[in-house]
Amino acid sequence: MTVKTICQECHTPNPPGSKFCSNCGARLPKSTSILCPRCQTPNPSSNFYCDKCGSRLIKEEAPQPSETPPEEDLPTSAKMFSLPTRKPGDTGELNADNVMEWLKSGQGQFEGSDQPETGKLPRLSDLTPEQRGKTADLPAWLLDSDNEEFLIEAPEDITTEHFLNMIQQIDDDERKKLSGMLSDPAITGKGGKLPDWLQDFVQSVEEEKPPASQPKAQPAPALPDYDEAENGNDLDWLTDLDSLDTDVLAQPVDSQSSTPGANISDDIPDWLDELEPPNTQMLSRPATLEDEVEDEEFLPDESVPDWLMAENLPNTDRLSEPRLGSAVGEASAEEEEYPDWLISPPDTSELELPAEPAPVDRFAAADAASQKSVTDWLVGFDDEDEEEGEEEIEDVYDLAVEDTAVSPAADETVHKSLTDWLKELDTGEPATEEPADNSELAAWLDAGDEEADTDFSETAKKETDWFASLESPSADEEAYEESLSFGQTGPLPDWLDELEPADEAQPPADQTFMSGMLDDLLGPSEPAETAASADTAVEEDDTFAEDDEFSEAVSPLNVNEEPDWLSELAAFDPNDLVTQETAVSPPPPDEGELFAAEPAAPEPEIAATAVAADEETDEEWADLDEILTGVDEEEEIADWLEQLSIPAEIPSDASLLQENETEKPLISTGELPEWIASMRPEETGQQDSLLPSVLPPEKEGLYDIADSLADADLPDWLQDTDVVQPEKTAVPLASAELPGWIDTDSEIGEPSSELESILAELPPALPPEEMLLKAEIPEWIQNLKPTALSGQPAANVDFRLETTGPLAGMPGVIKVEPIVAMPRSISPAAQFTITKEQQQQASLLRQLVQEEQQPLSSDQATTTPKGRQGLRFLLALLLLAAVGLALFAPGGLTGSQPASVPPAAAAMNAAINAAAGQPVLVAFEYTPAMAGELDHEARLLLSQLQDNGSQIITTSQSAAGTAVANSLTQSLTNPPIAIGMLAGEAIGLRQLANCVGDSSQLCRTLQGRGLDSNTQTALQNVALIIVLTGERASLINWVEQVGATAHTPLAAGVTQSLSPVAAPYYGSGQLQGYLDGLPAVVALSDAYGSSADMTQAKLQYGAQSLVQLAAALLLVVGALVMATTRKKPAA
Amino acid sequence: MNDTTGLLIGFVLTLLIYSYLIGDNPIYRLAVHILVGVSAAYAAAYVLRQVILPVFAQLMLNPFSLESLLWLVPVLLALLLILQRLSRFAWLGDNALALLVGVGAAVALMGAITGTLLPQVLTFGGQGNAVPGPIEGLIAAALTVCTLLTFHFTGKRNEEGEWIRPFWQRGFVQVGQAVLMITFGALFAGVLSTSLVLLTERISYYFTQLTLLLP
Repeated sequence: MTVKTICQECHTPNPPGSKFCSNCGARLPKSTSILCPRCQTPNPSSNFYCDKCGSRLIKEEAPQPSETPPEEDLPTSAKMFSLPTRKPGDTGELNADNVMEWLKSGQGQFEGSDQPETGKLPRLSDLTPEQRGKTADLPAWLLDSDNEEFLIEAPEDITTEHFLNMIQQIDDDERKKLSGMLSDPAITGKGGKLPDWLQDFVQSVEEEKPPASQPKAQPAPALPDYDEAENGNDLDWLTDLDSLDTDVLAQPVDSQSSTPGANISDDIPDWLDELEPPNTQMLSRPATLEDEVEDEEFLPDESVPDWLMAENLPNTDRLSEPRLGSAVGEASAEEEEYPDWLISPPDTSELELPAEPAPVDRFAAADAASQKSVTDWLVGFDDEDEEEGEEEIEDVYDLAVEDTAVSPAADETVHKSLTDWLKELDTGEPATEEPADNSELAAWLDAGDEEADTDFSETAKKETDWFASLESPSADEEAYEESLSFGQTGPLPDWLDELEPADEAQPPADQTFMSGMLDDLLGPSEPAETAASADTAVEEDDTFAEDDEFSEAVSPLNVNEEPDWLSELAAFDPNDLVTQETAVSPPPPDEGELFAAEPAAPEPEIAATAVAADEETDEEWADLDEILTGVDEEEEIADWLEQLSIPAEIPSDASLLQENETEKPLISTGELPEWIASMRPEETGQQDSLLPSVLPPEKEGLYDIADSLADADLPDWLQDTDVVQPEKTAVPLASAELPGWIDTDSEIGEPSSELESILAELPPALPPEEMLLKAEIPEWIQNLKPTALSGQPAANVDFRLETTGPLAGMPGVIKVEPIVAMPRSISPAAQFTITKEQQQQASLLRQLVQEEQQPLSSDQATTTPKGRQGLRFLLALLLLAAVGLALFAPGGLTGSQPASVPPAAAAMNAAINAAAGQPVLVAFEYTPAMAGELDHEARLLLSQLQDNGSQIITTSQSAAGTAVANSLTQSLTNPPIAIGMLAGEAIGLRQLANCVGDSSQLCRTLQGRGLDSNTQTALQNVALIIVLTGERASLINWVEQVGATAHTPLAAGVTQSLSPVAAPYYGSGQLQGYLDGLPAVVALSDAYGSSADMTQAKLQYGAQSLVQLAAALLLVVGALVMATTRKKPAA
Repeated sequence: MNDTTGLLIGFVLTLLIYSYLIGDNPIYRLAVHILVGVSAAYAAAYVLRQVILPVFAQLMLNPFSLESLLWLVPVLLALLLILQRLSRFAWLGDNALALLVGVGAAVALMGAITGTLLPQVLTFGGQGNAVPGPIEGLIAAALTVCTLLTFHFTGKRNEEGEWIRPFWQRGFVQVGQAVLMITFGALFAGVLSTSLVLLTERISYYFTQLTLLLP
């Protein structure tokens, strides 16, 4: 379809690209056509391909990537189930700049080194120190190890099987170490779970462990029976741990454990549950460790310090019942776990004093048998020499399991160097004999230890504490002492490192509440460093039952030596902490007494509220003040303190408490350590600090109780206290300490002088009516004005009620317009103008479409492929039959001979005879494919030339022709002269023509090939040129280039099909003669005779005639059939 | 033995070619590929051995002779012509290709004029071996003109925009078309005849040779 250009003047359609109208000659507008880039033909803009050359006019556009349909277009179902997607490249929070280049490019991270194969990790040995990069994340054992064998080669395929194989291949020791590491929660993380294949490995290693043999040490001496009934109530939380087997707390729990405490996990106090799973490796019983050591069982190197693994583990007998000890002994083979709070240093930032001093009581009430269980393991903390202690501390982390053997002397020294409080627990006496240079253990621990030794050795038999778990299976003190080898233990944990001996000086006078309370807890004479114990005690409120008797039985702990962290707390000045201006909600009363007092920042709000504190409150806290100031222990202990010391929910421990009445109360109302006393909030006022304030100022009452808690019931231990409800009175603003820039003297609304000046400068305020511009309200809004306001009568509104539909009964319902139902009328103006040509094209398109839809009728349908194939076979058979008949028929058809010799053949014969005895150039310009017809001519001619004595010169313009020439001239007696291949077609023939004929100059070379003299002479004397070819172009080239240039006669031997091409040239005299196929050959041979064998030629000539006749007949028949069967096309 | 092997191979290939009777099939294509491949390879080898190497041998023999120096020009042009296959350096072979095409066209044109057109025209003037008579001449001339007019497409466009021949050309064009039809028919007949001859020759050849192989 060609878009024509319509002339604007005469409206005559003109062909596209016309500049002037063909009718009126008006200049036509420049047609907007597309120039073909190939032939520069203007094409209509609607064309995609050029009308002239067919090249594409419009570039093909790459298919746009289908954009994801917006969510809005998605169907509802798709929306419901569609997940938030991320576009490729959108890494979300990932910052592309932070991505390492090697990760972006995919190149190896180590560019400089010999990069391994793609997909494989570089070996460590191949990496230079720089390439190894930062070693901060690498474990120490990897960095420090000089043994390359220790380095694990990076696996090529990081699979589970690979690592399993690695694990299987390592030594048993290494396996045990690895198992221990994997069991260490510090490594696996809090609550971390090992993969199954690692868990299996750990379990397998554990299964391989031989049952821990009974310790060689002597059985523990008979410990005084711990009257659970008497003392159980005192140490409720310890009681809960009575039968606690720390193995239970250990993870994984050893299934072989048959101790009563195996199921103690259900009885574990909450505060203990909240703790991390203890690492039993670190706090294993000495006997167990010894056995384990002897058995070379694996213990985590990093988690279990040597001092814990040493034989002289602390004797925790006093803290555990004999039965528990035995129970533990039964579980000696099991690893024992200790709460992490014992392992990890206490968090001093959230230091919370225990509500009750019960821990000390518990320690006092602990079984004597567990005396060493607590102290012994902590023996390692105390060292006579700080150096030894430091070394021990260092060795702890090396987990020199083998180095647990300790000399008895060291054991003794270590034993002597137990924490004071623990000793107090053992002996019930203040550990005054403790050397001053015990820097490792907390003084309170030693004191408790000694006290416990005396207090609990006889009475406390029941293990109520986690220390019971520290007891060795054998519960043998001597065994413990001997087995413990704290002298050679490894380094202590950090928090134990800080257990430097406290100053000998008494706690300062301004010791904080913490220190004072701890003094009460731990004893009047020693600085009560019961923070650690207090932490544990705080967790369990039940342990601090209100039992005055128990409190009396509590023996003070030796607080002469306090760990560093406690000493730091002592030196801690809450006033130095950052105070907050904002009011801090006062802690609940129960916790407030426990908090380390921090003098809060003076806040007017708190101060205001604190004013309401009455004297009674002061009296309430006065007791504490007295405590803080070092009230004599003989004075009456505050009820809340007494209550703290006595667990209320341990009735079974009442007997224990009674027995311990004679014991010194752990909590003493005497001196508090300085570091605790210093934590007392200042009298000047409360100051907000990191540590929550404990006490309000003296003049201040209790903190404001939250409204939600105002009506709440106080705990029992606070029942006796008089909580003063602050009077909720409005505090005048003037009483508050307002910033200076706020002028409170003037009433609200009255600006101050400064404000007055500012206001004076401002322009006078206009009334609101004048400030606002009146807006023009549109009428349609005015019409909506209610009649009541407008005062106009109500418009007549159709208030007919709707009777049908969901709006039945409503007035003024607008009727629904049937917009959808009404068809849209088409305006006549939208009709298109269709030209005649377009109508014709449309009709043609319609016709084509209809023709495609119409099925082909059987009459018009062409033969099926199978039918055509069959017909083809039939034709072939007919032809073959004709050929066979002609070839093998006896005589009949083969005897046919041509009537006469064609003139051209005769002329050729004459030309050959004329060139007798002279060189004749014969060009074989045909391939073996045409040899069937031209070989006969070639043989005939060659035989004639040979008979004439002519020198034959062969050449060809094709490589195959030279091969044909060679094959045909082999039988000649006179070998021909082969020029070779003449390349270049017409140009080559032109070069040959210069060398052929009567040229005055000999051609020494022909197309770069040197010609010998004979060849040169022969070429120069060529009398006839015979071209044997079956191609029209070759014949024409020879005729045009050689025949016209060289004045040498030219003859041709062509196929029968090429006869029409050769005839004009023969007629024009350019060809002297030619042979056209077998008929001429046969006729010539018959007429003039030839020495060549022409039998086959004659036979083929006969067959050819028959076959051609058959072919002709078939063509005629086919044409007739086609003519008769084809129907006229439908009109 | 070699002849027999060649005979059998040729027979098999012939059958593969004749398998085209059943349509285009892989074995036919195999035979065609073999034919084309062998022909091209033989031609390349022959050209290299018989045309190119002798030239270089001549140059090496007398590198500083005049002929050798003159050969540098076609050698350089040949190399530039080879660069035509590289799209990056195709522009270097443009001149060589132009020279080749130009020379060939010139030679062909001169040959056509002097070798075909003029002699044919002169033949009708009384020169040649078979001088046609005047009527034959006229008929030949007329038919030639008619045939030439068939390929003349200068005309006009009608009102509908269709291109139409001038009135006076329409008759001659039809005659010329008829002549073309006859010519093409004759050529087709000749091709068919040649094909039949070749078929006959092949069948006769293999029948004869195979018969000789039989004991």
